[in-house]
Amino acid sequence: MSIRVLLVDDHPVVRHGLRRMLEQEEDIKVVGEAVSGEEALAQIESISPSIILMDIKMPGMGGIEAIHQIKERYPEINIIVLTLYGDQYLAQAIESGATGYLVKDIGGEDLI
Amino acid sequence: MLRGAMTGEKILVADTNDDSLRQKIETVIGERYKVASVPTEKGAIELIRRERFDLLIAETNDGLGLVEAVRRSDPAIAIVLIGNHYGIDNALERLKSGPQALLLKPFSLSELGRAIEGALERRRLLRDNKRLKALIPLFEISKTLMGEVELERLFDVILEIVWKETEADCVSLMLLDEAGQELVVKAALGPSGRVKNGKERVGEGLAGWVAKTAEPLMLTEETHIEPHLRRAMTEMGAFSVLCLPLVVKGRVIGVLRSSKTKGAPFSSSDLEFLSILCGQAAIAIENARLFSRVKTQQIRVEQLLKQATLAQEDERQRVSLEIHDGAAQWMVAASYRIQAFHRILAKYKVAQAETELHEIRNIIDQSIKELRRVIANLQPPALGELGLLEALHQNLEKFGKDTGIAYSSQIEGIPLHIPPILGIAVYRVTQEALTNVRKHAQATKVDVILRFQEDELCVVIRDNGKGFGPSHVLGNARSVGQVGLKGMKDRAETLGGTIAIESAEGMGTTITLTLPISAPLPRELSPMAKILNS
Repeated sequence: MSIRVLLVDDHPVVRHGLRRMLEQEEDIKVVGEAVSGEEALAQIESISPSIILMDIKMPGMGGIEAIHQIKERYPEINIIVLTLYGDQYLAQAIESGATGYLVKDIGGEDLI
Repeated sequence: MLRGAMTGEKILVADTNDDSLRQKIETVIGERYKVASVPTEKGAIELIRRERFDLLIAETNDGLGLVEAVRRSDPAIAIVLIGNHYGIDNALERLKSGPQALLLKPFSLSELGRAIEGALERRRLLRDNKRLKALIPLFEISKTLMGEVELERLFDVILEIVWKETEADCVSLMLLDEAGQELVVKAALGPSGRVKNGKERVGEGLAGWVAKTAEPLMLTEETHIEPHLRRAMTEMGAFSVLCLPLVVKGRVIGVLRSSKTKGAPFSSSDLEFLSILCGQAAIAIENARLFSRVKTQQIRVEQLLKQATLAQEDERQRVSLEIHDGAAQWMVAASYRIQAFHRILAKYKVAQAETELHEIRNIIDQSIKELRRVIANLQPPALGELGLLEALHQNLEKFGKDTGIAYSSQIEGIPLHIPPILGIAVYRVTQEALTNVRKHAQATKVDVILRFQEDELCVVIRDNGKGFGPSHVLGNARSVGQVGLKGMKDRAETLGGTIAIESAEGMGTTITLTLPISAPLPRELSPMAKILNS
């Protein structure tokens, strides 16, 4: 049973990079990509991810609000925040229900 | 005979019925005083208007009209009245106060001498007293005036002093406008309290006449003046007016006008007092104005500094966002791809590894390009070497080359030499607008118009892209574009200009920067240029 991952990030090049990296792992499957909180929420029902990798700053609904809404409806989904902004949004993210908080320069090993 | 040194005081002997008495008086007192005599009442009034006398000798039986007229034009003049019992009582009734002596007929020459000396002595005392009384407030006034730097309060202080000291009914303080054409009432005290409006043109009206000639004007009902000045006085409802110029370094800056509708007319001592006061008031007003100008400048400098600091913060945030959204994301992607590559290599998927490597190369190249663009944008424009037009042109040309978006540039009006700080603003706003077009607009064409007008400089950047609704600009979400718009606005406002942004979904965006060419920047602000440029 592989881990179903949804990538939420407004930068296509980052989503693509993440996908390529994660797909090298046999037990990880990227099941969807979204550019904003709204798009992520719209997809969850049909793709039922078990983990969401979430960017914070996105046009439209940002990461913090998205985590909040997703956790309200799907408390079983684990959400890991991926950001370039250091610890700036850490407290907010955890409060909203994020499971993990990773700064984007981490090595893929930590993520996996 | 009256003995003693010449005192130099001037005595006018008015018409008496008894020619010999007049001649006798003249002979007797002539040794000690300067004496003039006139045979008729009319002659006496005219002479007193032209010359200043210290004492008038007149008879009670038919000289009372004359005495009253003389008192009106100089309340301080000493008077010796000659008459019988009945005449003296009547005269006392009519003359009320003032330095005077009474002489009952018949009198000896020594009695005449004592009466004259007594009346003159009373006059001297009164005058000294008055002068002393005037001097003390003058010291106080001087202190108060020089200590007051708030213009409005200073005006009030001046008015109060004039009002109290001269017993005027109305006092107005007017200052010349910048063009020197109009006197504007800055403060006024009247029977109905404070009034503060009204203007008078230089050359017209009483104050206008004083402003034009820089001469004081003292008017009573008897003064012979030009009809239009008399009319102005009648319109004011005044029977006595004292109007003085406020002069600083030989330049009239305003006029102080006081008038009376009742009581005693203004006297020459009022004129003297107000002359001194106006001299000090003018200097005090000039000081207060300088002070307020310095203060205004200081406030403006502080405001500009604050704006510059804010603009700098915004600019930093803009740069931060730009790096975050651009190069940093590419680098993150590159890192992920390298990690993917690493795993592929570990599993010997060679063909896939080659594709991955190629992708990584592209991502890194893209990052380098992005960073180079940010670096280039941060460079201060070489306006000094290129000139604004050429710098704009180069920028636009590079924009067209990088993006493939068609562009046109146009200059309207006659290109003037403009201060570097304006050139930088035009350049930066254009650059910012082009960055927005590149990143957000999805446009196929951009037009840049530089418009030189008489006192304004405009730059218009218009694209045919997707535009944005008002919520995008006003919303909370911050994107590089929005921070950029705010930065443009700050830049424009710092220079006294405006930014207009017209846009609607699907309708493209037009940004217009308008800057006043003679920006009201005090020269002392030149260090600001450095801050604003940084």
